[in-house]
Amino acid sequence: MIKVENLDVHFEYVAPENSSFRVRLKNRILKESHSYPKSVKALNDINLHFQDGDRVGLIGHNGCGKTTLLRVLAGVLMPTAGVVKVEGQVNSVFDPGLGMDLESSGFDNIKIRLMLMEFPVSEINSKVKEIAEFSELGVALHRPIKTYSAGMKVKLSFAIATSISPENLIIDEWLSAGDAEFVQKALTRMKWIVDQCRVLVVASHSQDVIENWCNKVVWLDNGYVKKKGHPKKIFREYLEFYKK
Amino acid sequence: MKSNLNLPRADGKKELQSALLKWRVWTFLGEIEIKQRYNKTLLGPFWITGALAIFVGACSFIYGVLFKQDLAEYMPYVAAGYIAWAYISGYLTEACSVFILHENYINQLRLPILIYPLKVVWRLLLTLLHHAVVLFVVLFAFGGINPLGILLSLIGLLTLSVALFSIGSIFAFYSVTNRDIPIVTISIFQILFLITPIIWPASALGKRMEIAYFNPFYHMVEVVRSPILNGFSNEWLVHLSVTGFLGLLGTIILIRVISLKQYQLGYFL
Repeated sequence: MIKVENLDVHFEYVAPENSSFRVRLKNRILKESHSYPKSVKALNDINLHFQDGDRVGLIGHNGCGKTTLLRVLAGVLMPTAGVVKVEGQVNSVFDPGLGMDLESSGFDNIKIRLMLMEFPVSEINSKVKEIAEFSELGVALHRPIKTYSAGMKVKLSFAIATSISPENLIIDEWLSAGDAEFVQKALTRMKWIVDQCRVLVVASHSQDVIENWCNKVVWLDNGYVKKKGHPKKIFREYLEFYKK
Repeated sequence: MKSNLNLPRADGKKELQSALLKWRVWTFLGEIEIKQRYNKTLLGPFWITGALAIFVGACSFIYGVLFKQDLAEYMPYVAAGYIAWAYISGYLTEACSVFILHENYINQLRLPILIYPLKVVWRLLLTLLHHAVVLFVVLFAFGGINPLGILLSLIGLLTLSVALFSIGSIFAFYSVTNRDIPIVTISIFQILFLITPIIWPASALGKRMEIAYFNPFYHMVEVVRSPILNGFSNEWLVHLSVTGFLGLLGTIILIRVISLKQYQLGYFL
């Protein structure tokens, strides 16, 4: 269960031309107020209630607040107002390659990622084996990953990101990987994860993801929830809205 | 910069605790970084040792003549002093930008925020271990190793680590909203290296010892160095008290700073 009530996220920033020490000192002495931070209202008055079993797609144009909302749900950003309640653990994937090092071997990178995901240390070795097997990269895992093709890297990060089945899953973009054969395997893996988790929230632009994987859609526009409801219906409206 | 953000306070003590408890994560990340840095080099991490050996050798040779010092006394003095200094200045200059450099991590992971400064502490302690090889060689060549001295020095090192970690982490928080701090810190440490008795003997100050005594960095260096060279002394207790006091004060302030600033990081990174 994920519940969000009256959520606001208002960022503030100082215009670059006002951020230098010299300008700030001048403003302070002359008591001018130009340097006071300006505000960006990234999310406003968001109210959402997801039950266990909900597979939620988040749609909206770039800059509408999708990632900010996901960061709040994932617990890495504290909102400026409102309440967020999440039952159960959350696993979030924003950048599946975070922390990976090109000079280190595939095996080392699996370990780095698992440590960052706070995977229990005592089970790491068996997990590494499991991921290695799933990735089908074989002996290549002993090589530094800078020798990998783009496809191999994606396979590896997919295998790692999906190796843990979380209670609640929050992903910034649908995870998929690889050549025709692997795609099938990746789909099966995603289906398994989605079936396991209580609530899934995914931001996506893809009609396929929204219509085939989600049972709810939230359409964000300019920091507000514009519409929410049935995936097919809302996505159609969304497409038509932006055609105009 | 004044912030008008309306954010709740974090629990500073709990944050500190949970970061310390996740020692497996920060020790792992620190070790990985050492490996990455010296990957594909001839000596690997032993470049750290080699570079220090060259520094101590050259420094002892030139400054030993300049300050008219006996090499047998001066060389261990420089080696131990510089090792302590490399740890102190290395940590404090790096700590300032640690949150800025880990922006991606902080914006994506729920790991306790202090993991990142702790990782730097751990990496620099490992560096110090590589440095210590040079010190032991020097000590061995010039008269021997005092086991009690080593033990006291380790106590000093632990106290120093607490002080550095807490003070550096406070700077890390403030550097996020004031990006001048990391830059200024680097220049300050260049000056501090010259005005702190590290490669020159404090005794050269003669009657002006207060120049050293009012410099906290003198105590931070000596808390590690003096027992190695002279064993136990009342002087060492003074250094230990000053460093310990800084650590205590730093930790209290840090807990407060965490509770005020922790949730702001996501907004300023």
